[in-house]
Amino acid sequence: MGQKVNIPPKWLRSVLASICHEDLLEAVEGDLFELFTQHQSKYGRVTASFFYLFNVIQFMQPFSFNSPKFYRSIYESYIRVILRSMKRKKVTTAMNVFGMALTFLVCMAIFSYVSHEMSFDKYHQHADKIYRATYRFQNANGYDIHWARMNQGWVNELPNSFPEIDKLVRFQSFRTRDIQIGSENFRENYAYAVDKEVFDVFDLEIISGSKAESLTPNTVVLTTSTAQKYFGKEDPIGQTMEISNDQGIKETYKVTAVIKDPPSNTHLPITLLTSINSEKERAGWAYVYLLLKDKANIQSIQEQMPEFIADRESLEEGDQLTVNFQPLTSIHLHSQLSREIAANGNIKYVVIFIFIGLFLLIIGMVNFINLNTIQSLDRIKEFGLRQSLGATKGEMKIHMVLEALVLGLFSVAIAFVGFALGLKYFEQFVGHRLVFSNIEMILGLMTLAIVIAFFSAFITSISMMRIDFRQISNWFKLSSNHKSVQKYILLGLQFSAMLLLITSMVIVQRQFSYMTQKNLGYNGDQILVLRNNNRDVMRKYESLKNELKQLSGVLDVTAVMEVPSVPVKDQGPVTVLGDPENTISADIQIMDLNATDVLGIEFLAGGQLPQYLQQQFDLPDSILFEGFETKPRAYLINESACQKLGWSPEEAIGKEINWSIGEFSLKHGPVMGVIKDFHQESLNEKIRPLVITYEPLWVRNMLVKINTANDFAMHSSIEELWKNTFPDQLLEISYLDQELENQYQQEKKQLELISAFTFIAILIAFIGLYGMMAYTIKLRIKELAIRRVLGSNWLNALRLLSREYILLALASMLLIFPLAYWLMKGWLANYAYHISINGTGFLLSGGLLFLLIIVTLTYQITVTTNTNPSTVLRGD
Amino acid sequence: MKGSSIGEFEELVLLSVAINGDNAYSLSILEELKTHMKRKVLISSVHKVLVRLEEKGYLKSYMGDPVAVRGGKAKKLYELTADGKEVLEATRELRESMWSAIPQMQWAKK
Repeated sequence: MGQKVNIPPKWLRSVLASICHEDLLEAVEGDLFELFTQHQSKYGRVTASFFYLFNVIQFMQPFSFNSPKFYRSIYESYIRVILRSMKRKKVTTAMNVFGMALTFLVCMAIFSYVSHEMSFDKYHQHADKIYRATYRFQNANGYDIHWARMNQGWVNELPNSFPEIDKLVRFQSFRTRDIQIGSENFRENYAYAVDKEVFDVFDLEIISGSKAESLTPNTVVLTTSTAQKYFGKEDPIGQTMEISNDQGIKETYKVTAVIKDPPSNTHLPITLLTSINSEKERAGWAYVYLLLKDKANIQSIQEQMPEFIADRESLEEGDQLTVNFQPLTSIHLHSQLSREIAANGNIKYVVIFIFIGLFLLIIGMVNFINLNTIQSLDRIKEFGLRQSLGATKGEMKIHMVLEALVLGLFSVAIAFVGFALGLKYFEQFVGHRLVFSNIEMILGLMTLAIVIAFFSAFITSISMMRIDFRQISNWFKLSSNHKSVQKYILLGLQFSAMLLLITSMVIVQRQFSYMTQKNLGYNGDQILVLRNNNRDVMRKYESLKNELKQLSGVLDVTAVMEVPSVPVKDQGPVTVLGDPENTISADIQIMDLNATDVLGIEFLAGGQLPQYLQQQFDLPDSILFEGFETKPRAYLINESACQKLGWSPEEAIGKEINWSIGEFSLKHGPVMGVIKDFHQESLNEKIRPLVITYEPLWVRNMLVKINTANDFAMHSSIEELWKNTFPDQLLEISYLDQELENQYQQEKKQLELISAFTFIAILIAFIGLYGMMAYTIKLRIKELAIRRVLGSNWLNALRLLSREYILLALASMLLIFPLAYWLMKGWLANYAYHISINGTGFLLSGGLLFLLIIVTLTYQITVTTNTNPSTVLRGD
Repeated sequence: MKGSSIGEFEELVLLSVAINGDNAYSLSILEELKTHMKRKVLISSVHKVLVRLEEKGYLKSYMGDPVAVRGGKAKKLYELTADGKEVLEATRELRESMWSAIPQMQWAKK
């Protein structure tokens, strides 16, 4: 072994030398050398080097810092110079900092929003082991529906058949869950009957009460806000309440525990949990969650499911039933099934937001680099002087990095303050609290700022280092730099980002306004909905209808099974008498005879349902159920069903059809009319074949067509009538047009956010473009002055200067427009009813870009040409 | 006089300088502290305290000759100043006067 091996690594020594105060350096170097030799003989070179490194790090303390040499002489002077030049160039600096801060601010907003969307249900301790069982049913007629919940009894057998499953929890849902405490009535949307094991599967924090007692028969668990609503300051534990199920049967439940409100980032909101009181009740529709054992694999269960199902279901030829298991954490963004618990988010929007964030970053970064380069090119003399006084290229680079860092960190600071102040309003706008990690955001932003600063300094140094400062004359030749390649690349990038953003936003906006303004096929104005009524109420429908009609301002009253805007999703086969081959699948909607009038649904052929369907309304339910199969029927069908059956509207009238679902089969009856297609569901969904009939047992909602400006009086008179007729029943009343608007609420908000962010992106791009052009003109100011002296006018100058920008813009368009077209076509394909892409977006974005270029240049040229050429030329 | 009182660690470092006499430099002080205190001491803490004590005027330093074991670097040697000696004695007297004030009976009871 040579002598050299006994010396500590050179780089470590130089690190020490760079951080350690020179007065102390000699002594410390010697100490560490001695220690190194000792360690090396004891533990070997590698360990000794680690000790050495550790020791070096120890000296990164104020007492030993190389302060005189480092801080005072170089850095402090750098910072001072940088601050001075920032002060001198207030406008450029302000533009740069403002643009960057705005970019960071929007990025933070996007980050908080996106990470909230991605954080759904991850807070559960067992999140990665929980799956939701969903089922899909398909048949030969094209019936294909994928449900978020299940109603097969055999689902309860899963844990017995598959040892990998630790626990199964049913969240049994109800159409309505009415709660009566004393004389007060409440209705909860997120009330479920659940298995006791729910506490072992999900993280539900019990605040008071006992877990052991909870969810034993006839007990109820409340969330804090529900407890607050029901009992105020009283202790809820031990209180009792009457809770009714779908059949309106009331039972007494005792409160045994209060849990914390679930956070906003769950797909499974909860307001109230009741016990499942017997094994018999453990049936019907339920959201089914499975907790797997450690290391168990859902894939193996999934593979065995077909066999498991085949043993328990006797399926008809062509029918197909599959059970799919969704990972808990992917439900929010990836699941769009029938009967989701609440409207889920959409990964598509998350992707759009991330894209906007990236584009914004590109635009912001390009701006920053451009403006930064401009600023340093402005100080070419200073750099020249520095170099001639002995500054090395490395030191000049440090200067540039520092300059960019100061600006970058300054922007970060402003962005932070802005975000801290604005978060509250942002959350208000979004409608819920945002769950995200502050630390990740701060670290991410700092890193981003530092990376951008270094990158910007790198680009700047490319331009600077090309200059040969030894030639004094080069200090004054600014114009040699104005045609650099990186400038064109950067500007091109910015133009492209701008074009893509504007074009796609115009198309997105057009699609959305099309969706909100598209004719729904019915008129939802001035209709009040009395929704989710149970049988006790609907049994008295006919008499209530007459009483409601007596009220002044009420034009008509009707009843339906599902209010328009709520999906039906009750699909079954439709058969034609005498034509067994002709079978289709169709949804059913139950409507009172006058509903087509009330909703203004148009007929293509035929007319209303016949009167006889209304008969025997107030007989007891049991007798009605008995006559269910034999009762004479008559039907309306929609245009889509008519087409699917291969009839023209006129042909369809009088044809005998029937509809069935499971064991419920309606008798064959004549088609009385064909109606125009209307949107029962949101415009995102395609209109499906629909069969309409009237069956008193199946209506649940009343629609009241009103004709009055005095809503308040109308409301209170309806409420009074209701209270007198049904003292024990809750009245849920709303406007149909508002319900329709709510359907698009989520989407509308996201679009508003997207538009706002896009607008900011354009603004930032504009700032950059403005700075860039101002600079280009400045570089050629003498040329322009000479041209003016020689007789060139304002227009010539514009033509001369705008050429390169216009060419660059055209090139960007050539590249971006096909890309935008392709991207937007893909996006639009997600909508069942969408606009076709026309030239608007392209024209608008292209025109806007040209306008921007021309207006900025014109302004700049006007400013320059207003100065006397002689002042400009006298300069050097 | 700059700073008239010293902390415990500072006191121990001063004592180590006194113990080591002509060879009082960071590493020998470190060894001294380790043997007496029976716990780990960081080399940087020793340097830190030495710098501070020198600033306070209790120590003065001079550079020794370059040595091969130190990679050709010199030791920074320390010695007590008059103020340093005074402050050590003062601390000792303070301790002793307080010790003698403890009643014997009270101490034995423990």
